[in-house]
Amino acid sequence: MHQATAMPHIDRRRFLQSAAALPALALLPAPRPAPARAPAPRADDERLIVVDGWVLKRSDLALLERR
Amino acid sequence: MPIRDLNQLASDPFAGKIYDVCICGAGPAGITLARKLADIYSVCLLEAGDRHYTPESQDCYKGEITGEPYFPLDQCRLRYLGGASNHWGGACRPLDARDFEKRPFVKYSGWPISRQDLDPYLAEAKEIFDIPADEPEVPSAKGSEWLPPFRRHEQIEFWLSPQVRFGEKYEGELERTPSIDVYLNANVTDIWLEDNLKTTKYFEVTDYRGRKFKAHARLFILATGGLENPRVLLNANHQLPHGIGNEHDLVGRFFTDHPHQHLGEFLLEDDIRAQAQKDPVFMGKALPIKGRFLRPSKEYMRDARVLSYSLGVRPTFAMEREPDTPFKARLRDILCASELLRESAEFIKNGSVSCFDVDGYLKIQSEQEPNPESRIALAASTDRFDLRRMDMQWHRTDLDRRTIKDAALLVARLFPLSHRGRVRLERWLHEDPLHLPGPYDGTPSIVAGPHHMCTTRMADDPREGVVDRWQRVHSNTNLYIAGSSSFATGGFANPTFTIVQMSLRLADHLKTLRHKLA
Repeated sequence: MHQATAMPHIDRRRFLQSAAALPALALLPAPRPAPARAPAPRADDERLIVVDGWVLKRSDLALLERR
Repeated sequence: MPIRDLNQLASDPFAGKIYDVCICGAGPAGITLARKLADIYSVCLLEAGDRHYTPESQDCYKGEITGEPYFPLDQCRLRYLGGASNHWGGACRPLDARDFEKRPFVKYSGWPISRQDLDPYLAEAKEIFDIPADEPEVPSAKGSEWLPPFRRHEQIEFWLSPQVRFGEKYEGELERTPSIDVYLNANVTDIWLEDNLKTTKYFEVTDYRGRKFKAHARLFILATGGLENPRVLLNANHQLPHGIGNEHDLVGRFFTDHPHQHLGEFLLEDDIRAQAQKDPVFMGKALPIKGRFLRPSKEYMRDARVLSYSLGVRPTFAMEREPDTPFKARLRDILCASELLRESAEFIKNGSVSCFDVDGYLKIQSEQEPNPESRIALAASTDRFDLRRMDMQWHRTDLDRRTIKDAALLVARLFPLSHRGRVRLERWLHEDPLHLPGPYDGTPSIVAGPHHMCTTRMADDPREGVVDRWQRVHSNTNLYIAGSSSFATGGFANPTFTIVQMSLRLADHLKTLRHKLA
């Protein structure tokens, strides 16, 4: 597992508000023709969140807890 | 023959002459054609401007923009000897083979010619642009392992010409070639046809003193650029009310540029950063343009239903130094947390303060979907020659927007999921529906090339194009259109290289008509 790079400064209050307001994957995939069956959610998508435009891993939030 | 200023001539230099070829426009296309045709033909080369920039010439390029926001029309091109080569950036790349192919999900895709028709002119075009002959189209992948694994994407390279200024480079040769007559300040203000309305008789030429002349020739070539070519044809409406070559209302339509957008920035994980710093292509040590560039494969484009593009992964200056030590990094966090300190620094700097160094930025240069509603039309206002100015109606489509968003989302996911780093995407990429920013929307976007293409597009069927596969106006026996206005589609590559390749090909074709001219 690669060592995560130190994250840029994030205002904690603003971060918590925006993270709570966003869905699990704020970045939606590009529209595709409707499939015959709804696809299962992609496991990797659930691990990503968007904060102030930065596409982060959910596990990045642990850096805040260590502060 | 020395290059002559039409304004200064006391008598009519065209009287009693019939040239073999008369070329309107002395930019890369016009100069290339003149040089190649002078072997066997007498050539008249008309340049509307002077040797250098003049406000009176440049004023003719002013126009109106009634479509999507665009650059001022008199600032994105130049009207003097050498044309737009006087301010271009030098990036060169031939169109890809797949750019010429029909694609089922792109309605107006496909050229009547293929990449193979232009390949014979690749070497000579490189020579014209002073690009080393052995420069490949695909860079070495060695050292690029740090990149995220872009599946079904291929690395590509842009060549860099030392910004050849065609006027400066070829002025001497044009003067030394006895069979070329070059006239400056010579504006083609009309095109007159024979009584059959299918054969060009002469170009009406006007100088800045208001004097009119007639330049007769056997073959005529319009090479005034992707915006001006349709304007000249539409204004030539004394004999054909809708303009020349416009029987099917196609002149000016399909105006195509290359949407450019800054997508965002990225940080690299520590060990990845160290690898990237050793990548000679990324860091600009091996090739003149820093960065790694990727294009989607044909299969990806087909399956994702997106257009072609170049995705640039470019380094910032931060990559050339070591990152702040942990203490400095923590200290910077403290400084940036203070609104007072940040605002003070921005006041002193008179600009924004970056509270962190990004390792690189992401930029896309994409193909634009051929769209007949994106067009160059005529405005009501006129220039000093009483010719109607241009009305640019640039329109991008949902496919254009989706192509850019697809590429942005792809790279934004790949970086974290492949443990390479993190990406910040521009705010507008998160909007739904997507609105591509214009040149004045405050984002660091160039927005477009500016590359002006497809406004007299090429097609075998006159109902689908203005010129045929040899760039001859379908409805005219001896009028040809040179330059990027004859492209059928634009690909993503900067057009200047292809403009010269096509001009070389056109010159070869016109030489085969010698027996007919005789």
